[in-house]
Amino acid sequence: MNDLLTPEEAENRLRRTLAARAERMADGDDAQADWDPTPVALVPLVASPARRAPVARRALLAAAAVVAVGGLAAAVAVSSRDGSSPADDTTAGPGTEPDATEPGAAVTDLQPASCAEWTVTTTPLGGTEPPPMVPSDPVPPSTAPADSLGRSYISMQLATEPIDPSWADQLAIVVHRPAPGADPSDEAVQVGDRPGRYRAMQGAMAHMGSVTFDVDGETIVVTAWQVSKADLIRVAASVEPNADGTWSYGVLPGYEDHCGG
Amino acid sequence: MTGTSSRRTDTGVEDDFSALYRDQRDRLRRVAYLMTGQAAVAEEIVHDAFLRVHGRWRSLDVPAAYLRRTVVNLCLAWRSRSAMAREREPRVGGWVDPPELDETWALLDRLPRDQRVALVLRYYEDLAVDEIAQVMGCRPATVRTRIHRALTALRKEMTP
Repeated sequence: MNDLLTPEEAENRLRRTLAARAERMADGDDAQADWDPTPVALVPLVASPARRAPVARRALLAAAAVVAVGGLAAAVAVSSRDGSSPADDTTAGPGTEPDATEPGAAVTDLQPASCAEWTVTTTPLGGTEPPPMVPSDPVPPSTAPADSLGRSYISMQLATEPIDPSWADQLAIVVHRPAPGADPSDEAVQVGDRPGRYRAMQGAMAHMGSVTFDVDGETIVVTAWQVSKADLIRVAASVEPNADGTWSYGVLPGYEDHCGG
Repeated sequence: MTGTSSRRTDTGVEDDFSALYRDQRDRLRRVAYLMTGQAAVAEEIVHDAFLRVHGRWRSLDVPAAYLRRTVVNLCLAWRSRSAMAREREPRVGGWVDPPELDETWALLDRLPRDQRVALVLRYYEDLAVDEIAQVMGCRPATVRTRIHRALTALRKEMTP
């Protein structure tokens, strides 16, 4: 028994261990050491047809997806309730420096909104005034064709609230870049410098700022906002490419009933 | 871009929920991390817990208590269903603690999940046995037994 710690010593060591580890977790960045650099949970679910998750799950993973194919760049944005487009402030095209942590400047006046209000628009890359696809109808259109240059933004209004800049790193984006004729899920990749953060999208909170990613030389601007309503994140829209080069998007299967409620 | 009409169902409720989130999220992430040993899992569990709380918000008298209990339950459930998968998951790294603390942390991984959770609630959250029993949904005597067995197991393996 002399070789064993006393109960008090063991308790003390346990307390120190728990406190030290909790502090690491609280440090945030240090806790990132836990994150696998490979989005392991994402790849099997989205990238492998043989192991693909049910449609609803895949769609959920694709929530707030940024879609890019060929010369296309699409951005997901969350709109303010007054109808102005937050994407307007962040629609810098290719060449914008990636910055995964700096929230957009246009987020400060955002107010909470209902999921039923989300709408989808497309606009030419670098355009300043996205043409609304559904000016007043909360139901999104079924497709969003690209502009004549083959570039478009897709903006989806999910919900809005003033963003806490410290939460901007909660964003992760799934990018689908399907080869012609291929399953659109096959070439799904995740961008962002916080692999694994897509999990936050599935949870109750997705705190997102204006984030710019550079994907293989293409800059994709993503403007998204804090979504702090659990059911809202669950009704995030999915974006799927169609065989004819257009895009389909809509409320996630199984979550339609949340909208308008 | 054109917006559509906006609605807020209940500003007060959402404000309260947001306040709860801000107050509790980081602490619960730490607790869940200590219980599961994995930051990514802890993050997911806490988010799921908030999701559940939000869904029942109007029926909860003490949302924070329900939230903590939900986190604990999710930690327990996660551990039980992931015993095999855990072996394939990357280990925590990236920092260095004193050897005895690293050793203790590793030893925690070997404990049954209910014992580990009880230890975290007792020695990190500083909850009384009765409170732990409430959170874990068991009798106080059960909590004492779990803690005693866990400490005994740890003492046997801890390097003096």
